[in-house]
Amino acid sequence: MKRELLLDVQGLSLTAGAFSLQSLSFQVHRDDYLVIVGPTGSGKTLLLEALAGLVAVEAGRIFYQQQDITAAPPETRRFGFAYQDSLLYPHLTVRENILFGAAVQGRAKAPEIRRRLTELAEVLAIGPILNRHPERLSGGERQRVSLARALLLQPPLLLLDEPLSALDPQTRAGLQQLLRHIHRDEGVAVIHVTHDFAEAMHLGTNMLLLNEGRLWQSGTPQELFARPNSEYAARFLRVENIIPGSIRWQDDQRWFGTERSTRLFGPLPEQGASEWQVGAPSFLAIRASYIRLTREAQTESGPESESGPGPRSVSASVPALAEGQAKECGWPATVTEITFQGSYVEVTCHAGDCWLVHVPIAHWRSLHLQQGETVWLACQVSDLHVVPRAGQETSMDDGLD
Amino acid sequence: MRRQGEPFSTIVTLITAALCTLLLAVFAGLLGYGETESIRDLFQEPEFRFALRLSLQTSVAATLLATVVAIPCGYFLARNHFPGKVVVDSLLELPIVLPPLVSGVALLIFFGPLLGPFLQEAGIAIVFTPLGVIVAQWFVALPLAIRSFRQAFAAVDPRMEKVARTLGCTPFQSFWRVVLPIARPGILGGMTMTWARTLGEFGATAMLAGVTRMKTETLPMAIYLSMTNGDLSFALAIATVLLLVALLVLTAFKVFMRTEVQL
Repeated sequence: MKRELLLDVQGLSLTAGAFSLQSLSFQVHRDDYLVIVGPTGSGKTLLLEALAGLVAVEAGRIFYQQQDITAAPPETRRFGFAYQDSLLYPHLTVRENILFGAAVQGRAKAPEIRRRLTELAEVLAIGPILNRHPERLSGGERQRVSLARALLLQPPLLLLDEPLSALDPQTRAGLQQLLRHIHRDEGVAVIHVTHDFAEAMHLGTNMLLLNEGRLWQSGTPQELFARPNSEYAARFLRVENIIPGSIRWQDDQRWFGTERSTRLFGPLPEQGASEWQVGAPSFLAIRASYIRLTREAQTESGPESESGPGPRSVSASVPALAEGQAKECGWPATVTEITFQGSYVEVTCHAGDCWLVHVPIAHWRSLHLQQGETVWLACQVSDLHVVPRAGQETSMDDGLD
Repeated sequence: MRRQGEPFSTIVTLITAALCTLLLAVFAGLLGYGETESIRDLFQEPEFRFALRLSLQTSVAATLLATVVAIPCGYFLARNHFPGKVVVDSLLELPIVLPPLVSGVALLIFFGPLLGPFLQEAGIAIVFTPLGVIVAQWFVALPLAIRSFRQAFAAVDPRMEKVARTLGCTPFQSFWRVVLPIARPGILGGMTMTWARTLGEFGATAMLAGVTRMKTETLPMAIYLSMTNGDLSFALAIATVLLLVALLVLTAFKVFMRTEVQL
């Protein structure tokens, strides 16, 4: 089934004060929940305001359902908008705040608007506070009212600027469920700016990484977190293991050789690795949760590293994978630090380079590990991900959608 | 054991208390020196009744005119940053720091030799007329209104307007439905202080409208005329009335709005 294209942004550029956007292109479909991440000052809020028509675009086009709305004023676009700090109108009650948009149109007392208000009050659990003034509401209540105000007139697109960042974890979790419900059940496409990666993973169907006003990477949240396209993206998305080295050519295959230990990891999957030249300085970027820690080594095969026993391809006995597909790469390491993190244990290991491994508590209990012990680290070859070093990235922001 | 920082608290409390005592003494002296009979008889005096009526009419008119001009100016200054804003700021606030007499002389020249002939042709007389009183009061009090309105508008988060725009408001509707109601306490506070300034205006008014008994005689003019004629009790009685009116208005406003009037 063909997905309905809602928003098509083409080469959007603008400058507002100290912030700017440079030639951004992406698309939003009706069933998308697009999360935008990026450091402070990367232009995330400016992008939302540009989409809402609140700031003038200098170059590029914005199409909404194939219609050019680049120069359309915000009151004609009618995209829902909610900021981080809710921005409820203090001179109005909660009810009046929610009905504000309808009141502007002179429809505040229309039966369909009243029905919609009742419906939203029930979904957002704000019925008992409708007659209160905003100063008497908690942070979570304010944000729910802010969402209700933005949703009253059933906008096709909801723009959210860090709406949950000021809330406590419990309230945030509740509102995340609510946003999923609004997206899924009300059929509202959402563009959501957040600093919270867990939130991005939980809610997003698509994700944009912005940096200095440029689109750095796009894809599904899972893709971005597993396969960042640059050293910057890997560091920003907090990939725990970013090991310096370079691409090597051995046995007619590409391998990643570490700088400090001259170990070889691989063979690298052709996809992704093929774009890097052999010998090019790069980083191996792999998440701590993708590395498996065991006491015993697996059966080994593959090329010897230059420094004796080292990482090599191993035929792993992973039941879920078919034979031939299940390739693992393993190497010995010494445990140097153990830190309990609640649901997992962070184990720091040394093997020339420093490796972080996240071990689930259930698995940790059977390991009985101590500092100084030698362990075996392993990861799937398909999880080996190489990124270029800063300054050697190829341009990643052309025509991404 | 004395808590750290207590001497500082004591010093600031003492200075504030001393200032309040001084002000109370000054105003109590004014109230005590005048004769109660003079105040009672004051309302029978045609000259006082004329001055009171003229003062109320001109000050209210000047305040409303200042409000009409200061709201857009204050909003513009609160929301926009542009090269040379400091110069524009200084120009708009110049009448605050200028001696009112200088403002009065400038107005006299502007509405006299410069603009006078054209105004005369249009049938408008400003110099040495009650209309001149309104113009002088407006001119001197306007910067106060702009400054306080600007502060009131600046305190309204611009994103409130942005949200209103996404909810269907035009720029004017977002100003009217969101900014103005939220800034209302500041606007009313500014209007109160503007009115108080117009009510007490003397220097610029004297230069532009002249000090003519029963013609351009506002309450401050009446005090001045009485003092120059040696009628101290009449002057003191009017001063007492002005003092009480100012105290009453300020207190009523603060109680009503439950907010501090800040300048």
